[in-house]
Amino acid sequence: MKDTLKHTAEEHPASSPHRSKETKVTVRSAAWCLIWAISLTLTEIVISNQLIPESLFWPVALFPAVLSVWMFYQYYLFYVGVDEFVRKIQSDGLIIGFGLGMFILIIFSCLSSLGIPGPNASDMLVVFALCYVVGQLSRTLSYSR
Amino acid sequence: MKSRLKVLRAEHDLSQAALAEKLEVSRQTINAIEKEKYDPSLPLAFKIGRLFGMPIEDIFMED
Repeated sequence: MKDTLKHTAEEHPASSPHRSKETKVTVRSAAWCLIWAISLTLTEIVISNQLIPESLFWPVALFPAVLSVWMFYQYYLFYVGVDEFVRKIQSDGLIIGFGLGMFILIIFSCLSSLGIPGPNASDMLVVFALCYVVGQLSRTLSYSR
Repeated sequence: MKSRLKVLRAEHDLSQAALAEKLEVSRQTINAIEKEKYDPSLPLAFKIGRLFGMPIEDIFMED
């Protein structure tokens, strides 16, 4: 039995089919997140500076929303494509990120009764994106210690 | 959950990366199991058992 198992790291390059599939879904998901963020930023610039005819405002404004469906689908493919431990880090990070995001929004909501302006949809997007990053980092660091 | 994975891996002269490759998981998964920070799923535990030719209760023990 020992002979059948006897393999060194040299015999298992990092670019095995299994690892390359995982790398592929990870890179693809990250790339679509980046593309979506760029499209959102460009859309806001284009509309706020009125760089396109008014008749195109609606389709252009909604373009990032349409793209977000594809981005989330790519994230889903990443989530189901990675191994169970990475999936656990993702789930834990998402829960922490969601909780943190809700906590920040609750604080904003409570403060709005004191006259402080509450967050708009763009603020919420940034808050939840940052909270997702915080959640992922906290879990990754905690498991790698 | 306590695990004998590190000992078994050393006995079979396997690196974490080599074992991860055999089990089709990431090296981080093996590392986390060995450090007892992560309990593997039942399918993965059975896969580990099959690989080392041992029942899972001989590899993983309750704290």
